[in-house]
Amino acid sequence: MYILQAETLKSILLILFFLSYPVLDGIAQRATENILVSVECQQKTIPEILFLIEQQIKMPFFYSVERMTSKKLDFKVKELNLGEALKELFSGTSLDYIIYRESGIIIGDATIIRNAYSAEYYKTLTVPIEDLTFQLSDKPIIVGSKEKLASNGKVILSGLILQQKDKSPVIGATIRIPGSSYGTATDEDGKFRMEIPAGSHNLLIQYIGNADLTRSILAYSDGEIKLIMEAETINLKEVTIGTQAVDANIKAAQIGVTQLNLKTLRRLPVFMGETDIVKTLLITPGVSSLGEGATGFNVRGGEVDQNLILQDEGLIFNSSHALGFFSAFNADLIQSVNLYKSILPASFGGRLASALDIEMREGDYNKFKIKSGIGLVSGRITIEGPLQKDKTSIILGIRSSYSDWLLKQARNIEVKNSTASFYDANIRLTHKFNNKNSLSVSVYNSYDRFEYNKSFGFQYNTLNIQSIYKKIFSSKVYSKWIISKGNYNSQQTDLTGTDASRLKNQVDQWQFKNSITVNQRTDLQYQFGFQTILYKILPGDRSPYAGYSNVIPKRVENEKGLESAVYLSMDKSFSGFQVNAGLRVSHYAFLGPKSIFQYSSDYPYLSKNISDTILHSSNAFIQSYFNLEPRFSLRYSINSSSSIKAGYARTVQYINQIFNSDSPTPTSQYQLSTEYILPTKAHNVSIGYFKNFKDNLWESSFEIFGRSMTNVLDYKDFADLYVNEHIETELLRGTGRAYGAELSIKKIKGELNGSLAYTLSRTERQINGISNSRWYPSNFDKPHQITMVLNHQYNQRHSFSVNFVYNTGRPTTAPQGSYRSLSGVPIPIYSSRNWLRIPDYHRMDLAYTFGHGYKKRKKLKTSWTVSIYNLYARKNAFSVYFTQTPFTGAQANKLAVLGTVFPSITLNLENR
Amino acid sequence: MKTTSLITCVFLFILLSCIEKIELKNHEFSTKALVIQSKLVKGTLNSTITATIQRLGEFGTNEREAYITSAKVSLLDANNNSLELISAPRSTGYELTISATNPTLKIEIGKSYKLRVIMPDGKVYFSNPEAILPVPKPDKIWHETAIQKFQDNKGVLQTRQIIRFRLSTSVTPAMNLDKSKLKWESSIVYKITDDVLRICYSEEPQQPEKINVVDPTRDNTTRLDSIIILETALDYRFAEASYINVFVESLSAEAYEYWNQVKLLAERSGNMFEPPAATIRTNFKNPNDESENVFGYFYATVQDTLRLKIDSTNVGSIRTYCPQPPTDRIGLTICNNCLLIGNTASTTKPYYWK
Repeated sequence: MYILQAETLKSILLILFFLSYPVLDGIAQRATENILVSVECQQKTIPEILFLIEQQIKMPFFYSVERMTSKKLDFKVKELNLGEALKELFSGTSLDYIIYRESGIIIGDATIIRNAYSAEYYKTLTVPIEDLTFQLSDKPIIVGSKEKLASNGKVILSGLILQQKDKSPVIGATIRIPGSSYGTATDEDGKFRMEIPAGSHNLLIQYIGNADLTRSILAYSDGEIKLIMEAETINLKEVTIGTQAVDANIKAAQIGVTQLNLKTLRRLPVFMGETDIVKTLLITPGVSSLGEGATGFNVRGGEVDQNLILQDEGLIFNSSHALGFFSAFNADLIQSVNLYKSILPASFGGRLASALDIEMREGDYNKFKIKSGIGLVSGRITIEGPLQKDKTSIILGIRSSYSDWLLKQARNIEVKNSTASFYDANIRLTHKFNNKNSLSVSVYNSYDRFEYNKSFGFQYNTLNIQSIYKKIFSSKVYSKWIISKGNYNSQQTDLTGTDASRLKNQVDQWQFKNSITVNQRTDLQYQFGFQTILYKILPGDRSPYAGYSNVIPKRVENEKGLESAVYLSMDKSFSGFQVNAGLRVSHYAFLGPKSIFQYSSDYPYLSKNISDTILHSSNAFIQSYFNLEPRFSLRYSINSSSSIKAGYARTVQYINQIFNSDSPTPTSQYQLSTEYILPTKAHNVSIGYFKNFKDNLWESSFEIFGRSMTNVLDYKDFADLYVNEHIETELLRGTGRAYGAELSIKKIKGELNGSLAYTLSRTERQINGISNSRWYPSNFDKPHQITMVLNHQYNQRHSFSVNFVYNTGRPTTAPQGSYRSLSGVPIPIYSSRNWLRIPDYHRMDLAYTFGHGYKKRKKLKTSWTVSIYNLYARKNAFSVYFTQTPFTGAQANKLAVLGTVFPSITLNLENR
Repeated sequence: MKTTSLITCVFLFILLSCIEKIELKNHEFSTKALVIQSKLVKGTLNSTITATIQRLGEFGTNEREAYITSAKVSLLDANNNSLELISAPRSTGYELTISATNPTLKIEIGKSYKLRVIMPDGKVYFSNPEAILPVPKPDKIWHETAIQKFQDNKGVLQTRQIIRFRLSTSVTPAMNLDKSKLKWESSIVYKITDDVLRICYSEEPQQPEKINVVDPTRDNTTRLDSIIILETALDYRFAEASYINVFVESLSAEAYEYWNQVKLLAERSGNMFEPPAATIRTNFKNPNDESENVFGYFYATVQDTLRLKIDSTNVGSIRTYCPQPPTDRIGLTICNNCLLIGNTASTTKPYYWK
């Protein structure tokens, strides 16, 4: 028997009645007809009699003692149904009852019970909405007011989830009501919105790396709550790699999304002690690279330049430091990393294969903090804190390498004479004008310098500045406005010989973007926006490097292009389905000033067929392209632990990286679409089955994907791409296809957790003029990929991780025979393009992290990470090359960029 | 110190483990494919044509495939007038000298020629027609000396004296003519006097593996000024006297492409950033079976030769090769007999030697 306070009882009565109304009568009738009671007693109070009845019906009574009369009664019923018995008991009193879901009987004032719809009656019970912000508390959070109860018994619960540590929004946290199908996830601003039945609920909020948060709410009408999540203190439930939050993998409509768990990145084995976003992505299904030393990454068989990479909405054109050994992103400053594979939401465009969306975090609004790490070849430091408490914060992170000292230790003179270094710096300033308006300005600058044996070198630099203004118009409408400016420039230098030269490339871009999200209803959300990017590209500027160089200075005219898009997407849920449908309408204009060659014959273009040159004036529309890009994602929940998802996306790319080396180099030029180089287009489809086991402890998925591409570019044999003003004469276009499957299983929590994934991925091309117009594998075709990650978290202080990666060797073009010229020069005869494969790639890494003591009072938190990269010293081939000199034999060699085991140790420091 | 040693060991381990020989299988085509190579050079008086026929060799072996000398090889002009090349006994190929007054077939600038090969089994192969294009006459060739730093085998920085040859030339053979695609080769002919005062002249082709081609038609280039054509050590070869010979050839667009591809293949170093290789072009085919793999190239050119004499008046006093300090070595040395320098050594003074 449950004794309730009067006010609470009223509230509960109202809610329960409201919720139960459609079935209440029927249930009550069945219950009261089916349950027979027999009571015979004298001079008992009503509560005492109710107690006797309760013993027989096995259902509890809920009532307020104040409402009970103290009058004693003689009461006798024999095998009377419950309803009749209660009516008789309450006769002469103001009491009445309702049966709630056959699990309890609520007794209260008959006026309340019978007039539950009377909002006027409950006016006094109104709880102001502005008081509905709660911190962690045991008390239920009251949401809304009773007088605003909707007649359908539904309320829209909105809210904001923040990290306790720095009050930053928690993105991708799931909010759900266990035991029901009600649930949603927070958006990029940490906000959520869902429609639930009015009444009392327990909310379960979960996010990787945070302790589960359970809060009781009492929802009367639409309202907002704000909740704070705490990081797990004793982290025994660490996750290694997760896709979004717990069970988001089966609930979210979007297919092919990978979200990195940043908290545990540092426990993964790393190369030379540097936590690496891209290398972590490489151990997720569907993501691969050409090998160590390769710039960028490949998603589902796509090329490196087919990935849209955004850091705080700023476009990144080179995601690697040190020619691919490190990624360009400082993990200490990152809020979230989401990789959309193939099926891009409508808000992303301009690339065929994927979108990597990296959001920087805001600085702490309450106190200054310093975090740093010192490794063998690189170090990093992050400083953050408030400039104006709770209003303005700043975060600054710097990383720098100091590997030259290590290179100098080598005896090999070529290595000794080499230098390699990089740095990057991020700064983000965020100001909250009020609860509804905030502005952040962030700057990213990175610089790389690499010089090999004083013979050749690379330098490249990225400078991005962006401003993001967020405005909340109402609880249903919020928006984001972005202005950004970026510059990527690169320089390749041949330092010796008569070919000594310096080659420069540059990409400048200015971007404006906005997005507006409208939460029309809990089950209906719209997002729309506009984006425009102005590109200005220097395709190549070559000059002699030394006085004795034969190189003739040459510069290719700048190119300019304007890529614009509007998009609209809708997210709708209904009876087990969730649909996200969108349309992106893109327009691209290739702009003057530019000299355009005219050809006397159609494609393929040959330099000998140049018949004329037309000079277009500044900003003239030389060529325009207009494309409709529908996007569609569907999720059908089979039950609470499994779902089927499908997706389709049309993607168009107007800017390509032109390269004909095994891997794009930092100086591989970017090429805009022109009247001769058509935009690359793709149809992407994906379908998958997602199943979780043991209350989301295990996640499994099986996805099939396919991509069909048109206007795919590849180079002619022996193409000369450098500083070529009619580069279309060196390129061929055709069709491409990529297809495969991803199978993955993960254990999310527990002392021992990890993942195992297998990817089957093929990517092929068919281009007239290459390989006799047969389908041939692209450079990135790696049919089989297996990744395994295991993490053993002994306790808070010690964790041990191991990962294993296996890839099929990538295709290569190799000599099959040879002859000598009349003057004795050996001439190898190579196979058709990508006819053979280099040896398979496999590698195992270990990492052991210790530190992070239990003493919370300790001001300085320290930890050490010891990593062993390439544990069994596998000489994985990056490429295969062939040596043959006059009058000597020839041989095939494999070049292993990292041919041995790489141990490293990193000291991490952080003040509390 | 221990740390440094440890790191050094680790790095050495890394470096030693980075490259290893491997075998790649899965051949795409038979190595029995035919390779036909031929070059027609128009001279002022006589023109010469040479040709060789081999089977394609297995990549990675030292063994050269035997030359086939039993085929019928003919040069044809646009009117199908033909001259058969001669396979001299024990020679490796076919050759023919064609005089300017040959009544059957005249070798002329601006005309196209092709090669026909009839194999003993009856298979016939034709090359595409190749035009002889005029070659611009280089303006001048000159030299300069410099001190160059280099690392020896132990990694120690050393210096050496070098001699660098430069050339300036127009890229158009004459007014109103199209720009030429050029290829050049060079050799050094040097004089050496042995201990018995025998004078030999030896010709040394320079960097035969290095293919020098240039295509001035790709841009607005009208001249090649001060281009370096050779850089070599200033050593005993220049002590007595020497000549540098530069042979400039004009190439058709197709021949330029071929030689440029040879150059790209020859210059490959395994650098992971260099362009991938591809199947080199050929201008031979079997008209009865165009799918048959045939390799090699026939090209026709006109050559211009530029010479520059170098002696002590140009480069100062340089130590001669002979006499050498006495050694325990048994047998003849170059200083005993300068003809031992090589096959090209001769006591006959070249006709241009002054």
